[in-house]
Amino acid sequence: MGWGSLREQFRSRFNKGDYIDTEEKEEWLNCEQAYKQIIDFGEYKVGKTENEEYELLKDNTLVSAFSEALMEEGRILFPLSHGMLLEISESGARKILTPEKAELCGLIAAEGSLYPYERKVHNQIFFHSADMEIIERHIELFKKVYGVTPHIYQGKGEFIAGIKNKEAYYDLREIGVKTGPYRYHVPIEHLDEKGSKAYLKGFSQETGVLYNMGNMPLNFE
Amino acid sequence: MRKSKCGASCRDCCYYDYRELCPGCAIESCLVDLCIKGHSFTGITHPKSFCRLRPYCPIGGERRPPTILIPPLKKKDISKVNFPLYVPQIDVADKGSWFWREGIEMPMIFVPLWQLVLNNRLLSQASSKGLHDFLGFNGKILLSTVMPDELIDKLTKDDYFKLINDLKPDATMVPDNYTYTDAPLYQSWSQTVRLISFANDFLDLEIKLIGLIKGANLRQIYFSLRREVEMNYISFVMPARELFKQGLLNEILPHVLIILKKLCRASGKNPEILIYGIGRILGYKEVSYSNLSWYLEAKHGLYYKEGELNDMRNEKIRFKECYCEVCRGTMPQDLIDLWIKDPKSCKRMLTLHNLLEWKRGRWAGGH
Repeated sequence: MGWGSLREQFRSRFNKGDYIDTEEKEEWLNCEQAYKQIIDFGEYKVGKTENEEYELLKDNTLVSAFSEALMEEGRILFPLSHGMLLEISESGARKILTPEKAELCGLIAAEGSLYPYERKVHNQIFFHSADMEIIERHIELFKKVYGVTPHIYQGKGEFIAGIKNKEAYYDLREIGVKTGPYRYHVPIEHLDEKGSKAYLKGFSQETGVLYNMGNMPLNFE
Repeated sequence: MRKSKCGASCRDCCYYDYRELCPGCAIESCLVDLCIKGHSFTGITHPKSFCRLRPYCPIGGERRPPTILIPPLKKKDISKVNFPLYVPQIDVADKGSWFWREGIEMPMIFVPLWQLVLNNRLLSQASSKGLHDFLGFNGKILLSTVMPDELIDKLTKDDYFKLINDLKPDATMVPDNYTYTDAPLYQSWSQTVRLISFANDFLDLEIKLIGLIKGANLRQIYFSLRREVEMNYISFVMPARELFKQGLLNEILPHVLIILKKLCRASGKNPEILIYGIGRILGYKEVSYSNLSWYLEAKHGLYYKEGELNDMRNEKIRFKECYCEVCRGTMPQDLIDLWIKDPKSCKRMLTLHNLLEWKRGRWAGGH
């Protein structure tokens, strides 16, 4: 017969189930708490198990477990793959870019290009710069985020870092780094304060300032 | 390995399985957790010596009840019960609810098993004759296993088999269980597995079978329904009285209907579902209803009209004539007058009117 709340069941069947304030059990106070609820964001809660794992609960149902977490004021960050972080805060959950990935996105938005699967090119990502240092920075960031190293080519008066990688191509396309020639989408929904700074740093890497490339206007979306 | 909110470890729990079974207990309103932190509830966790949740308490608790394992599932061709829109329940001990004695015909009724189990005299009469002869009812008799928790714990598989073989109903529900949303998940998971185990055992019976829809959360409901569908159960009953009272039914029922449809679609079946124990219409056309409200509410002078329960003095219906087989043009006002003169025959009339109103089922579009 029993379904719903046991307390309600007792109320309706036996006129019991009344609340009584008792003392917090001593055994509970003394026992070592292996499982601790460390953060309560309302809808989301984070607990730490005896194995030092972090558990994420949504509406009291376990959503996922993480081996590491970064706790900051007002939020907690869980590392995901491909330079993404899961940010849990009072306003809910969202995926944000690590500063490295944000910088990479900025670089690609400014001087890069994404080529889909076409006749001659297959999910390729290119980055152009006359400055070898910036090319190296791009490669370093790319390796950190996607674990693969782009090749360097010599172009006319510039260096080109290019790579054929389906995973990275679709990831960057989903973020919407470039929406067309000279058209950029700032992934503001995936950027926190650090990420925003890193994105701008990447975008303005070459000159140190935001600049108008050639005669084309900057079209942020 | 995680620990539940109250501190009980999932280390040795056989139901702890992140993917399929229990992801760990983190019930916000768990009565064990609340008790440990100083908030008890009379009759449940207070006084401590009578606490009924002690087997699940991490502090000085008793041993947990033994694990029930999921048995290897059998299969059997189970035909549909073909529920009509409304299946009345009867009170075995109260012949006033034996409506067929008044000449009203219904294709099937639910007989609550617990009423027989608690009344030795009735049980011995019904067992010796079989339910059909005992009640003198010519339609199908469906045995309802929905019963109080105390009895659920008492009855074993052999008890059920003996009772069913003696009573000879046309169909039976699988044994009921209890799954509370504010008790530790160990309890509801063990009850869920027990339900599956009984449903598996009941395949040995030679009568039509009705599956049960129960669970403390959607994961448990899905888990048990999936197993029941795998065993070819096709008719289901959802005991809903408590959920309805606590305002949870409308949250859960749409999910249950979707889960059941999806599970049955995969195996090419068309399931049927009956909502058991509520005296209101929910607005789902594909479900049937069963209750004793037609009888109980009449005792309190309440009058069904188009799926709604009314006080007979309600201006909306008070002077509306009813042309059912019993009323034949009388209106609630006439019944009020009759109540004053002859309350017994008024209650009889009201009871039968309410039953016929449910039977007609125009409010739900009919089947």
